[in-house]
Amino acid sequence: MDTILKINHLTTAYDGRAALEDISLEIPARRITAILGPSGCGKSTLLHSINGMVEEVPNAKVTGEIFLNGQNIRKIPTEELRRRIGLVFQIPAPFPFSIYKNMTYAPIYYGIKDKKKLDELVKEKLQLAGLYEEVKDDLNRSAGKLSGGQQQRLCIARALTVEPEVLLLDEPCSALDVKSTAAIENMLLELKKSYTIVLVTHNIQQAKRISDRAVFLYNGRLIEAADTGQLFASPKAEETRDFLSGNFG
Amino acid sequence: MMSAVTVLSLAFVIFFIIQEAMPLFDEVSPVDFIFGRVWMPIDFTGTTSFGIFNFIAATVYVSFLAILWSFLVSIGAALWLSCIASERIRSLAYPFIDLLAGIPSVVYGFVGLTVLVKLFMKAGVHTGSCVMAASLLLAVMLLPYLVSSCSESILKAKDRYLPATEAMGISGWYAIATIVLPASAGNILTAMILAIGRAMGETMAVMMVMGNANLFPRLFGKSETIASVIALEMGTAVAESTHYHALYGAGMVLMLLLFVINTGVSALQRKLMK
Repeated sequence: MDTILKINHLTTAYDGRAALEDISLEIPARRITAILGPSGCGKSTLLHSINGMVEEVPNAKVTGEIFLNGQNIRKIPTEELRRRIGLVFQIPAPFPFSIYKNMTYAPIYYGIKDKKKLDELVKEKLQLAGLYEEVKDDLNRSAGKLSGGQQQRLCIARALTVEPEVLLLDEPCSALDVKSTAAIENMLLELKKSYTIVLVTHNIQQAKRISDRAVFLYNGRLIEAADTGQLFASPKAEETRDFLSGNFG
Repeated sequence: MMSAVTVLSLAFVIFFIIQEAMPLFDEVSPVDFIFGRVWMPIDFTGTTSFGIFNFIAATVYVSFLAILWSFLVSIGAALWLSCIASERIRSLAYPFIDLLAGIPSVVYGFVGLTVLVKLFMKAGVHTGSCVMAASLLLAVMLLPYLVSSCSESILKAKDRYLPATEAMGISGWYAIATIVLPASAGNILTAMILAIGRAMGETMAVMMVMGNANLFPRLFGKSETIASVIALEMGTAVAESTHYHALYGAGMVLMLLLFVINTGVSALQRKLMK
C-alpha cells in the first residue's frame, strides 16, 4: 500500500490550547481511512490541518510536519495545496446557482474555458458522485432545490472538479437520512478506486461498513490506528474498546 | 392581538388619508393635481392652483440620489466590516453605527444647515440650500440602517459559502465578488426598499437644507418635497378648505408612490432571486 499522506508529530493549538497533540499517522493512497472519536476530540482539526484551512483561524498554531507524496505541505502554496487536498463539510453548501454552474465554478476559476471540456467534466464528476442520472435532464435547475442528500453529493462532485489527490470529508452524512447516507457510502466505495478518502465520522457503524483503515482519536491524541477489521475485532487500547462498545461518545 | 392592532391602525390611517383627500378631486382633477406645476393654495391673486408635480419630482429625485450615495458608501463599509475587519473591530464598530441611527433628524438638519449648507455656499451655490445638500444629508441618515443590514447579509453569505471555496483554493475576493455579493443581493435590495420608504418620508432634515421653493429639482437648485409641503403648510391651512384637502391629497400621492416603488422593486427582486 502506498502512503500518500504522512503526518509527523503534528500539534495544533488554538489560543495556546492544544486541540491535537503529537499526532503521527500515515494515510494509504486509494483507500478509505476513517477517523473516529467522540465530539471535540480533534477530528475536524486534523482535517483542517491537513489542507491548511486551519490557517484561516486566528491564533491557531501548527507544529510538526505533513507530507503529501513526500512533499512538505508548508512548501506548497496554499491555493495549490487546497486544490490537491479537497475538503467537504458537514452541512452541504451548494452555491446559489444552477447545478451546472456549481460544477463549473472552480474549473473556470482555474482557467478551463472550453465549453465542451466543461460539459465533459460536469458529466464525469456528477457520474462519479452518482448524481448524474438523477439530474441530467435539468442541469440548469437551481442547486438549492435538490434534496439534502443530493446537495451533499453535488458538493462532493464539486470538490472533485479541481482534481484533488486526497478528498477529506467532515461527517458528510451527519445531516442526512438513511437512504441518502447509503447513496453516499456507495459513492465513496466507488471513488476510492481513483481517490484517497479520509472520512471523519462519529458513526462507528459507517466506519465499519466502508473504511479500510480506522484511526481513533481521543482528547486530541491518537490512541490507535489499524486496519478497520483489526481495530474492530481486537482493539488494543482500553479507550478504543470503550468507545467501540458504546460506553462513551 | 398586537398584529391585529397594527393592521387595524394602518388600515385606519390609509382610510383617513383617502377620506380627507377625496373632497379635493371635486374641485381639482387628478391629472391637474399630479401634473400641475403651479402650487398657489391661497387666493392672493384671484386664482388658486393645486399642482404638485414639482414636489413629486423633488421627493423622488432627492430620495434616489440619497439612496445612491448611501448605497455606494454602505456596500463599501459593509464589505470592510464583514470581510476585512476582525470580530473585535466589528463588535466595536456596530454600537457606533447604531448610535448614528439614534440621532434625532432635527439634529441632522441642524448640522446640515451649519456645515453642509455653508460649504455649498462657499462652493458658489446661491444661498447654499439645494437638492444635493439634502441628498447628502439624507444619505448619512440612511447609512446606519443600510450598513448594518448589508454587512449582516454579506456576513451570513460569507459564512455559508466561503469555506467551500477556500477548500478548493479559490481566492477570497474572487469568491466574494462572484458568490457572496450575488447571494446577498436579494437581502440588500430589501434593505434598499425600506430605506427608500425612510428617505421619502423624511421631513425635518430635508426641509432644513433644501430651500423649500416650488421649483423643479436640479442638483444645485432649491426644491421642496411632498413631506416638507405637508409639514410646512398643514398648520396654517384652514380646516376643510381645498388647501387642507390638497395637503392630504399630497400625502395620498406619497403613499401611492411608495407603494408603486416597493412593488416595482420586489418584482425586480423576485426576478433576480429566480
